[in-house]
Amino acid sequence: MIVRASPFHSRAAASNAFNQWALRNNFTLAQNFGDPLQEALAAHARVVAIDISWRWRVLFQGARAGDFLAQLMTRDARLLEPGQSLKALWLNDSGAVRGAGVVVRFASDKFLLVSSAADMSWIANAAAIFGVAVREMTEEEGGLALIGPYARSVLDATGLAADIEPLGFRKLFWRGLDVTVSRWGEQSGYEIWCKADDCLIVWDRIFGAGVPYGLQPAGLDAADILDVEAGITRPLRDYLPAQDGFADTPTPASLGLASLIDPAHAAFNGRAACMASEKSEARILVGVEIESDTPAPFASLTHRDWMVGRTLTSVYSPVLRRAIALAQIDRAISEIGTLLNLTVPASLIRTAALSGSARICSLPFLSQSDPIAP
Amino acid sequence: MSEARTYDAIVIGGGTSGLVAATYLARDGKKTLLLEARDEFGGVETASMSADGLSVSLAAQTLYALDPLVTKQLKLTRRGLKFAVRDMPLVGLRSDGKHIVIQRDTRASGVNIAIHSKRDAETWPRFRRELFDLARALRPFWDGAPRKPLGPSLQQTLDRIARQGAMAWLDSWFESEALKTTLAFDATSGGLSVLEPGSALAFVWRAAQEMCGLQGSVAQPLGGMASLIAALVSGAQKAGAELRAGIKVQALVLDGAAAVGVRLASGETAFADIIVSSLSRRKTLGELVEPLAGGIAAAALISRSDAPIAEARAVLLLRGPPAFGGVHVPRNSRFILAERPESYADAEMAARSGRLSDDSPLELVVPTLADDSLAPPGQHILSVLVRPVPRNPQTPWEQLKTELATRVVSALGRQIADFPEQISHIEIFTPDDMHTQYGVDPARLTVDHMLAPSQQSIETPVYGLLLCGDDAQPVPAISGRAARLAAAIATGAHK
Repeated sequence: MIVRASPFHSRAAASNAFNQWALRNNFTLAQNFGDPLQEALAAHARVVAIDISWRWRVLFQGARAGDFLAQLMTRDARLLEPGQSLKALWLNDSGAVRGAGVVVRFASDKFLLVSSAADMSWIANAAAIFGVAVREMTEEEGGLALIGPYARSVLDATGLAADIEPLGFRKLFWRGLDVTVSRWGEQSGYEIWCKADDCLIVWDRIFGAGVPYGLQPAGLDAADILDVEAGITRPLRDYLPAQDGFADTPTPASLGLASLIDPAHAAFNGRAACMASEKSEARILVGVEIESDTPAPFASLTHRDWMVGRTLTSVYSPVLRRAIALAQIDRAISEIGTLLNLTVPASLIRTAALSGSARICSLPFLSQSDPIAP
Repeated sequence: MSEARTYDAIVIGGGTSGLVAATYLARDGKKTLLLEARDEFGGVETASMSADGLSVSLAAQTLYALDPLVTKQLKLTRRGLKFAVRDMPLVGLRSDGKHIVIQRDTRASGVNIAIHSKRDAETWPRFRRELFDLARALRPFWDGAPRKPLGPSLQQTLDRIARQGAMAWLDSWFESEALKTTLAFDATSGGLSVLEPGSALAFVWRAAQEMCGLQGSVAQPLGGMASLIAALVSGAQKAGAELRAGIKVQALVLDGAAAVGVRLASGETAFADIIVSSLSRRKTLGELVEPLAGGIAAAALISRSDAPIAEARAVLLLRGPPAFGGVHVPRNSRFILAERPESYADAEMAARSGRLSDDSPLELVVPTLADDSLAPPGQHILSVLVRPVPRNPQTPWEQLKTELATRVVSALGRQIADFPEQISHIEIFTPDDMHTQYGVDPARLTVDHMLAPSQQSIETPVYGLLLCGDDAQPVPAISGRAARLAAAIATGAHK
């Protein structure tokens, strides 16, 4: 495994007083900058900047790039005009989720895919059949997400003011730098993308302009708290994508991602199986509020001694002031308000099993404009 | 077909599989159209050469896996399918003249095997009995019947066989090279090496087949494969299927992920809810549908399933019956020419590296010894199956034909007296010929494929599109079983 440094690393290191680091998509990133709960609160109350350079980005170019992406993704990218984007899944032949991402159309023959997890061999092999060139550009650029009620104000202060609709983007020439400002993310914020070599300048300019608004960096722990609050599942954190081309799990419905499938899109990979599984999927994604302050990731959920599901990522939400979790649960038991028993098995770091109660609630825990992650 | 027409089912390919599928569909009341690209039905089974004004079959001359249910339900015997030989002995030709003759009578076989090894002669009846018992027990895996869990002992045996190469398995039974090399040829179907896991299973699969009511029998149809095709065509017509020859399917018409019809080379279109293809999976999903319409993983599988090795056939027209030297052998036999166990490994290595081996194992049949209608009076056909040969040789097959013919003649010349002088014509039927003329691609068998439920091999990721040819069967053979099952799936009769 190659461990990569984010192009913002030196600035993040300077702010990371406790030297807390974590890996995501093989990038070394700040786990937190001291207090993840305070960082998550700041994202709700002020504004934070989160390094998102780890997001996997691939560029597709070729006369049949649109046809290829239409075949690959669960929404038809051919319907996009240049400058537009959509969120969609890509599935294996059996309709199981391999990935989720934002497809951006730059030109009639040029598209970008932004996703949380890489799936290069699957996509590149399929693209080759259509004669479409695929180029990974994850390391060529860095990205910084501005999240919080003052995100727009910080952008205005930097001179990057732009009216961008959700899922929109704009390429700008910013005091000598080429940058792209987008709203592809899920946290009602903005993303600023720039060349890897320009990242430190961008960091300095953004943080310089953000001082009056209390802008602070936030790490992966805070990002996870925001994700769970928004009801967002991510590959490799909450679920293992279907790496086998014929595996039948995880289904879109079991991950709460069925809304990213366009039933009118007639031909995408895995469509038949996916449509068949949508109604038959026994488990669905819900939120659970844990009646404790201790998060319970990947814990068993039982109802009247019957195993009815399990939690996925679980965090303590400083806004809700309790532990919460995403959970996959039997459809029959998924009524809001149902009380469940929760058991966290003993592990290497926890010698005794934990048990408690959890209550089913709807997602998102906190209202967001678009609760789906790329 | 001047305008778009609508059918209940369209069958692509008019070989055995296509004809069987069309007949079953039509019998079920489906308005069925069968399309054959060539001018006559029969596909590769009726491939022929013209020599001295005579049409000589280039295809296999024997049947060993024709589905008994197909024979019975389609009344093939009543429609003219008869057999010149019902149970061909297997003869391993040896350069020292001590040929090994294996026939149904285990005592007689034992006498012959004892020339090479007394111990093997004693083992033979037990081997034969256990092989046939195991093969019968595994039939539900292969005949489309509902599967029941195997008993622990049988499951254990199956697990062991599935992991074993045929030669290793035969080594565990016998010591005689002559016996092992003779038997091993039947394990090399579908591009398998005798050293490769799965080849023992292919051997057992073959033993599970039945011809003329006899398990593990090899039979020769009277009048050649043409008589089988004639019986099938007659049955299909009687059932009400519309059979069209000389019409090539250019592409499948898709509506989303469902096949809804076929577009013909002439530009016309025919529609149907069910499309059954007897062409290979590669040809069907790789050439007849839009890229990736069959699925990304399926496309990757197809691209990886390029079989490096294949088989070729040499058909020789002889001026007289071939006379094998050495001990007496029954006339209507199937002969295997593979002197050493290493012949298989050497030939496979050569084929994988794109070359012909000096010592390829050969299977010989002289159908005219039992059926003189197949050649002009006094002349004989010697049909030679050469396996393995490279699928994509370093030198193009067109140029390699002469070299293959030379090697075959040289190998046979060591067994048959005055052989070169007897030859009046030689024709070589290469893997390229099979692909370009008949859409037949060599299989690349795997254990998973051989043990997969039949439905899995027949269905495709494209709705309404089913396969019924060699790729839909556990091991490629002229059978019709996959076609029968495909029709049952299409009509909802298969559970």
